[in-house]
Amino acid sequence: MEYSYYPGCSLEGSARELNESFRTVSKKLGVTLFEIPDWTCCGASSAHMVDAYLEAALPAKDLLTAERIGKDVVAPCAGCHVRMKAASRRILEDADLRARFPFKGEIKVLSGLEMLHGQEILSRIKSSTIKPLEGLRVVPYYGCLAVRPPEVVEPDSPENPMQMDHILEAIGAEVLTWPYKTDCCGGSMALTRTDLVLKLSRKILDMALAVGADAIVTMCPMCQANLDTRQADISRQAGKAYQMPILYVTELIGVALGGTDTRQWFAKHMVSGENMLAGKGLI
Amino acid sequence: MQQAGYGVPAGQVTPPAGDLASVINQCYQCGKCSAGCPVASEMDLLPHQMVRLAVLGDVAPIVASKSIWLCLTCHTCGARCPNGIDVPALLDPIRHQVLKNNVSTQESNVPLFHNTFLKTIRMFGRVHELTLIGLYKWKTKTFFDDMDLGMQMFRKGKIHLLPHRSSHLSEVKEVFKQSSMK
Ligand code: SF4
Ligand code: SF4
Repeated sequence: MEYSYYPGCSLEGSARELNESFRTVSKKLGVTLFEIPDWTCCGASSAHMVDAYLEAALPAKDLLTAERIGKDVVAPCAGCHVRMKAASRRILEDADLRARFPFKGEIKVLSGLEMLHGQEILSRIKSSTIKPLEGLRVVPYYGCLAVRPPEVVEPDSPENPMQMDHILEAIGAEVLTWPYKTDCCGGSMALTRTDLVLKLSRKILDMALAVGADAIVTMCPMCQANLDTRQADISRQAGKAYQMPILYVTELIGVALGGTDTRQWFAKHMVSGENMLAGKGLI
Repeated sequence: MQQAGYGVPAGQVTPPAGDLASVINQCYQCGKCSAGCPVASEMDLLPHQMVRLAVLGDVAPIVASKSIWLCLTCHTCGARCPNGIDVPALLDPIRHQVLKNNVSTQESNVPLFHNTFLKTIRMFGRVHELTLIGLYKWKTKTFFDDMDLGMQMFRKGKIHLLPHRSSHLSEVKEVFKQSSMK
């Protein structure tokens, strides 16, 4: 199985462990990823706020490159995925944009979860699991961009998505039911209104604690960075210590498939999951 | 049809037109958008109120509000609205005009951040976190906030000292030339 790969800026920086774990587990599952040569930024959560043309034009070059290569492109970052898909829709609907960027829509843009949840790959995940994550209680946190806007992302369900649940079940984790699967952590205002973000993030951490989760699992670099890096501030505000590991689903797949030094990924988090996972005999 | 409108800063920010106007006109003020909005408690105009004002062609209070910049673009409202009205889809064109015409705003750090973000893309073709954070903190004089966090991220190899320079930089600059950020 082969895909074009659009890592995006976060995966080169704050979400390095997502990049490394996504590539590692893809390889182990027999998926070959071809990075789009010298890709540029998709415009993230800023372009659409400032200028309609930038919103469509920034992802356009890489969409065209991917179409020339001819393979569907996978964008593990939930934010990049939305931006690329939104741009491809707009180009296909808008003759002026199409005249400038002759994208024909012959390739699909897949999210990381979509790729991993594909029938063939999901069954490979199941059959290749040598270290089932027994005793690990997790809450799947999709956040906004993995499901919204629904007409762009086309999730299985915008309120109760199940793809990550299924993947976590396949590797033997106990998936807990909780009400904040798709609530917003405030990530887009991490720097501008940190006070608000602390409030929203604390709500999510508190609910995960209330249902007895060992970790929150996500696929979104903004959610991960936000929930992970802000726990020190939240602890100071709340007067109690928050130590909730925020893990990427691909890191846990890496643990389940075995044979990788997964600790190097967990060590990159502010709240490392290492002790918790080691305590359960999983790493 | 162009709405009558009143109190709109003359010629600066126009109310929604075309398809967008016909979509928002279906709003029956059920309030579901505001009920699920994660930042409703901070807003000076609630999402359903902004929709109503836009239907009336009265965008001036939206332009003058905090809400237009507090909206996180989480699309919870749009996913739930029984009439398919997405508040950020309504706000984006208003925000574009506000920025293009340099209309003064509340919560001005938010547009400042987005502008700085896009400038780093124009510089390098990709985001360079150190440049972005440095420029933003310089402009907002909040240089020492999160210093400790920044150092930790740096030690974990998550912040690069030098930016990646794209070989497609001229194409990126060309894209910016066609936009309002020329
Ligand atoms: S949910 Fe939709 S119909 Fe209801 S008030 Fe909001 S915009 Fe109007
Ligand atoms: S998109 Fe904006 S208005 Fe809509 S629910 Fe989210 S924050 Fe509220």
